[in-house]
Amino acid sequence: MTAAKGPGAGRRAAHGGADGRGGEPGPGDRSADGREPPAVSPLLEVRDLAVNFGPVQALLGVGLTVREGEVVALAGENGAGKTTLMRCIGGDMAPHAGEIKLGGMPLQPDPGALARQGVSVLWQDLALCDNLDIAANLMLGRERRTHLMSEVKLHTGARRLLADLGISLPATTRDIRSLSGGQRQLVAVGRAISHRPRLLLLDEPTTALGVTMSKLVEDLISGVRQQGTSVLLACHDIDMMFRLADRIVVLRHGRVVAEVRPTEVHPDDVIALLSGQDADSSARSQLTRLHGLTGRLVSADPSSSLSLILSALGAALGSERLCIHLVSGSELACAASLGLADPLLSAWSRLPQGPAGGPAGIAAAAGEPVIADDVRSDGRWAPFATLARSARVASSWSVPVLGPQGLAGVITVFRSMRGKPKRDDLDLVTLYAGYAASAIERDGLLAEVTARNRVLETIREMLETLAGPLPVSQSLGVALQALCRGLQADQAALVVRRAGQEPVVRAAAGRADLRPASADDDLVAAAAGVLSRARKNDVAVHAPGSRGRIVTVPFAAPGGGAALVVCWRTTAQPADAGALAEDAARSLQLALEREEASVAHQEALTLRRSQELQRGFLSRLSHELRTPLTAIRGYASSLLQPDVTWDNESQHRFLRRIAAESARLGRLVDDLLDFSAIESGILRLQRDWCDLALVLEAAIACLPPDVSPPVKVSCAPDLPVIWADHDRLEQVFVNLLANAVGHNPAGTNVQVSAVARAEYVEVTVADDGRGLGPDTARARFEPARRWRGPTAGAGLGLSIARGIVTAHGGRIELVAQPRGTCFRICLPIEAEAGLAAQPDPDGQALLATASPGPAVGTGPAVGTVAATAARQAQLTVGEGDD
Amino acid sequence: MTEAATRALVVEDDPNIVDLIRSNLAVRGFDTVVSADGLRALRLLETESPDIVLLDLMLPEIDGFELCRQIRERSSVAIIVVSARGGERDKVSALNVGADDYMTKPFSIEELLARINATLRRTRPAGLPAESAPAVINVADLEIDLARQLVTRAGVPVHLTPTEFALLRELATNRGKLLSHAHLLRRVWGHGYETETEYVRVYIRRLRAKLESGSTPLIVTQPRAGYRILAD
Repeated sequence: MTAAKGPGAGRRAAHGGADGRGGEPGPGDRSADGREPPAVSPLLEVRDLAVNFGPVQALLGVGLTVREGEVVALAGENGAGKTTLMRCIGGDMAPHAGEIKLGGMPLQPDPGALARQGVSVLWQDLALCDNLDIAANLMLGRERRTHLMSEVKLHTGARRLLADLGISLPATTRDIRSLSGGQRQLVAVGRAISHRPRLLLLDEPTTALGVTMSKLVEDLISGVRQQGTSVLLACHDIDMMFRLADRIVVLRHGRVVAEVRPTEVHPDDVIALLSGQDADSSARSQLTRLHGLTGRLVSADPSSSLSLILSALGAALGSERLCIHLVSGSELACAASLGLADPLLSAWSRLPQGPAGGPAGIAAAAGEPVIADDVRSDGRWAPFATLARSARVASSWSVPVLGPQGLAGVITVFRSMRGKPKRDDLDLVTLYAGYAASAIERDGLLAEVTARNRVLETIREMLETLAGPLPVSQSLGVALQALCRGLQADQAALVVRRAGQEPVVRAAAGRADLRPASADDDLVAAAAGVLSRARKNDVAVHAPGSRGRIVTVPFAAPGGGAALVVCWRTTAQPADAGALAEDAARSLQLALEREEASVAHQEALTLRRSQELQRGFLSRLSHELRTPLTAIRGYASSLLQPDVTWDNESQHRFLRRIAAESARLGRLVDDLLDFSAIESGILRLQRDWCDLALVLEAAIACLPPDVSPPVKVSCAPDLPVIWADHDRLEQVFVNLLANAVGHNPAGTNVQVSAVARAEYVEVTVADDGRGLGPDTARARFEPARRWRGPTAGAGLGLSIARGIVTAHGGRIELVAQPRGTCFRICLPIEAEAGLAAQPDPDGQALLATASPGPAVGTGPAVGTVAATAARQAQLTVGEGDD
Repeated sequence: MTEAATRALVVEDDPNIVDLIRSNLAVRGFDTVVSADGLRALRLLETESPDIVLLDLMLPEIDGFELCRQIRERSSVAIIVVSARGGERDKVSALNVGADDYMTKPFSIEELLARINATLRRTRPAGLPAESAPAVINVADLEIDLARQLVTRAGVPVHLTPTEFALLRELATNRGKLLSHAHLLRRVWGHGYETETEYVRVYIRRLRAKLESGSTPLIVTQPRAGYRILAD
């Protein structure tokens, strides 16, 4: 709660000062909770003191105590008896009755004895010796002890004393008469406190002084008190009392009328007491009311603070009808009201500023109170004259509420009697207007803080999303959605532009929805515009679009630039939208960089894997080429051995094997050529209309003749001819069938079936053999596992089959099944109606991605089945065809 | 070499290579036993006591290097690895696990026979030159009995393979002399091996592992030149 403006400010400041002093450490200080210190016998105790000046009772039954280290102020109007009391205590006058004790001992009414008892007095008339210089006056009391001091010693001592006290005076040799009143007072104060007295009596120490000197004297008193001296201070300056005193004793007509603590009362109360009023006057109750209001406001819900102020003001004024309007755009909106009749309230719920808004509107426009002492004859009430009459409003005051940013609202008080308000009442309204202004300010701040918190929460959520486990590609949209919610924006999009390319919407979201990367055209245009211009990165660009406001933050992104675009179509743009968008852009930038790094990492991994596969492939290929070569070279060199003569049988065997291995080598080379043609995309097909049944028949004929049971073929009778390369397709089926026959134990059933589909023919090659179980996975790692088949080996068979099928515009896939192995080949009936372009209906990985040798199925595998299929496909190629 | 038929164990799963080797060894008076797998090979090693093993590295069920190591663990029989893998790394690995020689497929029959003979000569020396050095050489705490092919270190017998022994003998009988790689290769492995410097390195390392202790080196390396055993 900030300090109220208006008349209350000064009073509160006085309060603050008293509180602050109360907190200082000091021997006689009250403890922090304000309770009395432990009872010790007071330093000064005055009881039932009475002094008569003839028939005038100067003092009567006065009692007073001053404790160790305490500062007690005597307040009273002139003639109240302050000085008389001081003179009695200071030993300058003997009371007619009563007793004065110092430290429990009766006080000797003799100045010399008093000084010995540690009492020092500063008289109102100073009691300086005009014929002496400064030093002599300062040291007056001491000469008695030291007998005659030397001049030098005297002045040195005096200078040291002044320095210690922080008093700056002209040379100590100056005659006291040559000093100003203030300087003389300082000398007197200096003398009074130079003895480090136990009790210092000060009678009007600042009466003759200006502001600066008064301050100096006040500081001296504070200093003395810090050192443990008790002070009894008689003065007229109530504010000074409140600053210095622990207690204030109020004298009136020679009697003690009150004893108060500055922390518990208001200076006005003391003034009232001085003039004989009851302290608990109306002003005091107003003060209490305000005090209570302050307390309630601190803990009140922001929305109810204005009502609280209003009802407190109502109570303070004794008025039951009030309302407060707050500035809302160009209008005044009624924020709270008390006791207003409905018709008036509804008419006044929104008022324009200016004459059309009646007295409240005029007060708002002018920034000054509008007092209508007779509503009926007042032109300013003209717009609401009828309403005022029916609501029995006879007079009104409208007081503007002025906050730090100017006009915040207007408080209007409605009265049922004609007449001007009392000055005090108007002051009260102004005072409460000050409270209202600070409450409004506080509410504004709170709302701002709340909004800010919401936004911070958004940014945090964004950051968390972007740094979370979700892949960046997915988290971008979620993050943008959070941003929309936080900024109350309608749409946000991340637009990325790679160098030399068109901008692309990378992610977009509305407050409630995630959009597939699409954003409204004006957002994209705004982003493209900002990205294409020379611009400062990371700085928001505001643009009023045709359909709302748009903020664009460009930033550097991997491979080019990117921009965050946020738009507000239906909602208001928060004040710091730009800064927040910049924050958000930074987190998006980090996310994009993270993504780039992870992509690079993935690429490196893929490359390494592909290199490993290639190395493995080459090693196996080398092995496969060396094996027939070894036989050929070995047999040939054997036959050429000069020292051996081979028998006929051996010679024939050698030659047969040379021939067989040469043929195998030839096929291997053919395969390699096919493979490299497929790899480099130059596989030529000799297309013609083919009968698939004939192709299958030819393929089966290539298998060893003793396959048992024979391969079963079932072709649908309506199988159409297809536009394909007969020989190449035959190669595919030979490979698949040879795998099925050669890999499985004898007796495995192998079945080929072909059916026509809408635009393609589907052929399956299935067996009920060992399938591709875990044992094949192990076998795959044994490169020596070889068998002689129609293809030459080297793991090229399936790759070639896949290449050929793909070249036909078809696809080949491994069908997951519990037992055995099943390949499905789909071939388009007409080449151009190719299946290659169609999405994979099963979501299964095709053996359709080109990669060297055994690397098959690197395409995106969707789902577990597909992943398994891909793995198995890889196994098949890695192991099966070898 | 022909009095008692030399027995060769061929570990190989390619029937063509088996037939090829067996035919050629048979006409030269070798007994040949064949195994297509590692376990059988280890069994035959026990039962047939071959003089030489021709070992293919690519076998089903067992890694060829591992099989080589196991054979070497059980016997000091001469081992020639025959492999389609021609890499330097494979060759060094094979020597490290105990092979005496390494041949890359494809090979000619002449080469195979030459290597078999060289390895057999090295590992089964036909006798000592008559005028040669003393029958027993002492180096530090080693005692090398050239006649009986026994080595003891501080009285404890040390087991060396024939090739290891041949290398040690060459170094010990030429004590103090620097012996070049080529010299060692020619003398220990035979003609045609002069460029196979890995052989020397691998076998020197093995000798050191078996014979040297702590700080005092037995065999001193002269970088890029060769090796020697220091004179007293």
